Amino acid sequence: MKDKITTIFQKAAYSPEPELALAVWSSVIAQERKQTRLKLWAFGFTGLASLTGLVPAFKILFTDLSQSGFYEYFSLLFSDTGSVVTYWKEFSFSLAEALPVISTILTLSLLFVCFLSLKYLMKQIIRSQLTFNAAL
Amino acid sequence: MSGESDADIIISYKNGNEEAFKELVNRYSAPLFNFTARIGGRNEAPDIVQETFIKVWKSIFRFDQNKASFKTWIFTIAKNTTTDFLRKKKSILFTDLEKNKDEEMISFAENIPDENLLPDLVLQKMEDSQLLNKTLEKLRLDYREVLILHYQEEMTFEEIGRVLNKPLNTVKSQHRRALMELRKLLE
Repeated sequence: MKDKITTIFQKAAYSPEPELALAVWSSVIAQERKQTRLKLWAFGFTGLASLTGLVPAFKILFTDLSQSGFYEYFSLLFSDTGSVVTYWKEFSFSLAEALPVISTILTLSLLFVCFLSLKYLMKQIIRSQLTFNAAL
Repeated sequence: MSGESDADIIISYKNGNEEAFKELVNRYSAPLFNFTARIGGRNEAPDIVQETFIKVWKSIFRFDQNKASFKTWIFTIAKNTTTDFLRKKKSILFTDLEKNKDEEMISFAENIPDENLLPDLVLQKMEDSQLLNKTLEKLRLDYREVLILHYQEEMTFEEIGRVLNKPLNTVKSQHRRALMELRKLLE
């Protein structure tokens, strides 16, 4: 009996207009384009902001590095390699101590955000190209 | 691509083949239209189908094929979208939402064997698609949903339970009561 009811029901199914699938696909494409544009702007802005922020961040980092004596410790690596190898533990601690933590974290974070934005920006550009091709 | 399974198409789309989504649209536009037209109205159905596909597109990367089949998932989204749509339009009947209360009631319909639910005479009347559609419109929304999903979309009761978020036994008893009601209306 189930098969018979299934046949009867399927015969009575409502059929959509033939262009429904095309209309749905177009709306998906439009939505995708809108989202891609939004992401392009967002990632572009974030990338540009982090790139701009990198200039003062690097300045602060270089100032902090020279003030903390990091360069002096670091130059020992080339001028007195023997001592550095012998006292590598002490040398590492001194080097780590002289490292300006906050400005280093700030600079690296900005670099990370900048590269990440660049990566997503490229991805969105490729995606928008694909969406454009799919719409054609 | 038309011969591929839904799972393969989704994998293909997730791997960057944009055209794969188009295949899903072609495959499910008509069944979703039929389902949403039955529960949300024929005029609203194209908008609901469109909205459903946009929701699917937005969350397809979160869809887990191990949890449910794509068909069950998309019909669940369609059902929820229709409910939201009707709620927005405030055209959903309060009684349609409240009717679930008597779901667990033991009905005499449960005691009738399957083959006797729709006698030949009723089946003959059902052959008239127009009459069947008109009768279906008179059925309660939850009964209609079960019948459409079971007979037009050929879903199992388990799948229907997942789509409608109802226990298996509720779906089974609703199916029987729906057939009884259909018989009553056609007789």
